[in-house]
Amino acid sequence: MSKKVSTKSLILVGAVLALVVLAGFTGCVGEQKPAEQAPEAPQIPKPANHPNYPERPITFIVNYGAGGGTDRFARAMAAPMEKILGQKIVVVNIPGGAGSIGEDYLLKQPADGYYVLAMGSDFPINLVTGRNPNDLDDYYPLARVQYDTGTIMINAKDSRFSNLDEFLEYAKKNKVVIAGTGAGGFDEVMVTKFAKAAGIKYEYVTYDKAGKMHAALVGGHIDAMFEEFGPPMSLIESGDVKPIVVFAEKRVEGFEDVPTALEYGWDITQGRWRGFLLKAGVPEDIAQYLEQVAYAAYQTPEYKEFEKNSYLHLREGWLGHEDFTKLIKKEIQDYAEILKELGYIEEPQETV
Amino acid sequence: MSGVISGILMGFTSILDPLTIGLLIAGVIIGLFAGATPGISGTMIVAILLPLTFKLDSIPAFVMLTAVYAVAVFSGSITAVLFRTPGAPEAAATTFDGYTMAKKGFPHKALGYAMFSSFLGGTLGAIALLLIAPQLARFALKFGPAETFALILMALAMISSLDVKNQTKAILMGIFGLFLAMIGMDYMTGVERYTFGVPILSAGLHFIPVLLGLFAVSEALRMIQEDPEVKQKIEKIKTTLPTWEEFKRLIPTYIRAFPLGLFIGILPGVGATTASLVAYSTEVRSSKTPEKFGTGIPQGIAAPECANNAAAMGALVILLALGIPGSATTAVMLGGLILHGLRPGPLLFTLYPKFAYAIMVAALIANILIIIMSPAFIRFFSNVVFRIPRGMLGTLIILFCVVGSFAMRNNMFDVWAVLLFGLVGYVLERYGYPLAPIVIGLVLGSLAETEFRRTLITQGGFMGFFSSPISTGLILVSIFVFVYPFIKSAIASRRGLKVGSGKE
Repeated sequence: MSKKVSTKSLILVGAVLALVVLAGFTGCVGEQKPAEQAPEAPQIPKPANHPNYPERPITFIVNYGAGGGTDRFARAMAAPMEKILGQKIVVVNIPGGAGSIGEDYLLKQPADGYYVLAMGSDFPINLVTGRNPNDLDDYYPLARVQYDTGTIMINAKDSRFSNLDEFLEYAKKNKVVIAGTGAGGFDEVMVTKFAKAAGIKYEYVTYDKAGKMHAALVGGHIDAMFEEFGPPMSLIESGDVKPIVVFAEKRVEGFEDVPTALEYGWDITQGRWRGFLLKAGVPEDIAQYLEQVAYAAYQTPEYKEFEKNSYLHLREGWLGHEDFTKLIKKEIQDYAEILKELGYIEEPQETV
Repeated sequence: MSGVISGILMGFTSILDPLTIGLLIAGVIIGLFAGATPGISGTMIVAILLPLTFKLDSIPAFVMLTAVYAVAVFSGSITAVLFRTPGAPEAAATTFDGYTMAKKGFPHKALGYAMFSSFLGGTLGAIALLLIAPQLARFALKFGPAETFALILMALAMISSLDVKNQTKAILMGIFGLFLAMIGMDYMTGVERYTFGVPILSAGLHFIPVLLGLFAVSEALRMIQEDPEVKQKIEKIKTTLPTWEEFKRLIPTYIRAFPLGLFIGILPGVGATTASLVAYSTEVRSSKTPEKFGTGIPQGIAAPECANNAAAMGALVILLALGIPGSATTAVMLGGLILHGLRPGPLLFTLYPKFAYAIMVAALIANILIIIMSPAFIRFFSNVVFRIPRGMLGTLIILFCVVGSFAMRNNMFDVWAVLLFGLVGYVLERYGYPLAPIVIGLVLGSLAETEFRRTLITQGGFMGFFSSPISTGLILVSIFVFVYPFIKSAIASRRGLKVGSGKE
């Protein structure tokens, strides 16, 4: 009997404690916000024809699940953007179909500037393969914010090769298994470009989760993987995994001994990017305002620190509406060719 | 070893301040509520709480999230036992025997078994985490696609033993589950299967609406059919812990379920739900009386509940030791850690030992708090819930299932799916088709398939499955397990004995 009393009192004490702590904790969050808002938030002139925008919370649609790169990107941008907009931003994850479900979902929402899609490099591919049945014209590319840097990584303890030259020598004689995430997506395109340029024998294997792929590389079940610097950084630091070639214009800070593909004469510099889309038809002044807000958020020290922590700072990410639209158009053409070559599509869909 | 002990002491001292302890306890309470609410999973709550923690230091913040995570894995079993409504996906297997035991009039025993097994699996898992996390993680990496496939295959093969009275029906349902797993975009090639051009189907059927539909909605439909005046049999639920005698009988179960759960948890991309289903299947195979599973026996609750909490700790092992997320929730936590400027990985223990040990100690305490705090929570919960008339309770359960299914990925399709599978479950059970094999097929099917195909690519052919002794052994066991029930009934019928068999 005494045991029961003690558990009951314990949970009571616990509940009270929890409430007090939570109250105090939300209290201090509430107190800190206005104090921080004043110096940090840059002033951006409101949209000319919609001086009260935004009048209610804005929804960020993330077309991937919680915890992934695009989700983290959306949330890292949402925090400074909220301060500038003076409105809450609600992040909603609509994952599936390599992001195409969320891309389609955006078009089912009103074009009023209250729905913003946070998305990435799979978007042009989805348009080409028809996984996303809409056209580029249905969207308003707002801005590209992140431009990641891809590499080929190997197990640092691999006895067969320890740098690109040794890897190439080995892979010209033996078939190697190179992994990436997603099928018929960005990673596979990059691996194909690399393998063809380098003239190696390879097999591409896809992983649905990046973590699983890292484990497979450290465990010695695959020979190499296509990956960006950020996600496996702790394994690079610990000496389990190492990059052997960088797909960028120049060598990357902190990895000066890793050659670029360009140095070998292979013109492969594309990286995975992330940015925002609006539905076409959002009032022009609101779209421009949102672009300015996003740019201001992109410049905040808060966001810059996130970029650095995630190793996304290696290349300039920002592209405004016009350049971003051009980029997507160009990629649609490139992917149409390469995916046809890979056998993923028969005839390039007319999307541009 | 002395390093570990001083680390543990450091872990204890770094969480010994009122704020951190308060947040730890708050985390346990939040975890209990979140887990016990169908459709709100631990993953979701951790994702929701994460932004709130940015104003906190990393230790109190992640102590709270760890507590939520550890406890939510258990508390899904409360509603699984009482209403056959898994409050969290990890509790799917607990409905098989937990609800049947409750229906027989022993909800207090069923909850006691669930609670004690969770506590045991979680606590032992946290101790393993504290003592040998790096070694465990390195060992798990040896498990390649061939081994993982063989392990999953073994669990799938046990479907034939799940319903001894009618193997044909059990296998049929298992195949139905495998079929459901195939719907959607194929991860390996990007090709769409069985989507009929419906965009949302390319994302596949989500496991949650199917699970809630088959088990919870179908049962709620039956509940509504009953006479609303019938007075609720179960008034106040007290939890009764297993007696010493009962515990002794479960020791072999724990010896099987705990290491299995912990190990599966460590495997990246394979979570606590898989662990509990594999543990359940293993338990059926190991039992001398497999026909009793599904009728409400302690082993059927103890195995999955012990395994899922152990698996939750296993996922922390690989997260902290290698920076690789083993499950959905740990993936969200990893994102949060990076936003806090921490990068878990092999160097975490050297660079931030205080943080690493604080989290591990918090995981240990949270699992111990399960057994201390949940009896009161269950009393409170049943007090509220059983005031509701039974007819209305069914409606409420359906409501929760609908809202919860929608919340999974904010899609109306999942609402229709949960209702459809409610009807499917209702009809199937009416004609004596078991539902458990559907869940096993659905959860394990896509995993088995991708690992199978990955083996073919990375090993360059079918011989890859027999390249290591582990996978060879597991595959041979699987074949034996699958055909054994048929051989047994064939022998029995030849002898002219009347034993329950696949023939009708």
